[in-house]
Amino acid sequence: MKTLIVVAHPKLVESGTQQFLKMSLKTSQDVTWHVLEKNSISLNVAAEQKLLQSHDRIIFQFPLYWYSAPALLKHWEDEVLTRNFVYGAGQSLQGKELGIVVSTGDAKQGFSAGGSENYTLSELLKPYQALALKAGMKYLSPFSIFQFAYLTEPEKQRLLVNYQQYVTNPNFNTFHGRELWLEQQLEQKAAASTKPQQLQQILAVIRDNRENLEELKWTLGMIKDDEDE
Amino acid sequence: MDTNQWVKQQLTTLATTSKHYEDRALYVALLDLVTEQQKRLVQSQGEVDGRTWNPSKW
Repeated sequence: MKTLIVVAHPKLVESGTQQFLKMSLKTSQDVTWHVLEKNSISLNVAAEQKLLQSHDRIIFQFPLYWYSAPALLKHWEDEVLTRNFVYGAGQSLQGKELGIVVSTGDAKQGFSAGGSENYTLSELLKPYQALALKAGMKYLSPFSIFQFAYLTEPEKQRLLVNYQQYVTNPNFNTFHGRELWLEQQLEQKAAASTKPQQLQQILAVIRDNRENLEELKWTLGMIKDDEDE
Repeated sequence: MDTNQWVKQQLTTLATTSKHYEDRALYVALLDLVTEQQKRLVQSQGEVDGRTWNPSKW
């Protein structure tokens, strides 16, 4: 799976969140980090469209500005996502995935009915969901980062791995999908290690746990089917 | 020691002693995973036992 991250941040170098996210991906393959330049008056539309076509998961990554993306993403959308490319004769994005990575300086609890912002992020990001629907894309649950500067070290570490999964794990939204992805990471870590035994032993236990869980799930399915009759 | 407890102990050490930040983050995530797996194993086994013990089917 190839992932394209379209980064739209007017003050990219000053953003601790964006630097952290970029650093999270330094060893990942099949990921393209594509920064939208603030001063690019004319975009090379054909090149941008080609870039979109050559990836399977497209991610728009931006800070929330007035409940929306910064203007440079909207400008890029207006120029690159032409009618024929998206839903006319072309339908070039059909079958791909669209994900959103959004950061905000406001607290998570504010984004709910009755909260300080009154609306959930899923509600505010509806235009992207509509775009995905129109383009025949699968819309992924948005990945949100609240108040990055206030995160504790363990929270940042968890954010790093969750973000890696949002970008590279085809099934990041199921527990089983996360199990498989983490096993794969550990396997690669063991293969690159000079002392792989310890990591291989850990991997074997995690794999056993997963297989036992699968078996129990299957047994429960059988019991439930039987109860239903 | 239970094998899962052994794994958690190993991962806890790795999560604090590994040189690279990215590696430490991975071990924290694996520790969370094993904890969640253990919880689900206990819950699923309990559910199998509970549903198997079903007097209405006697």
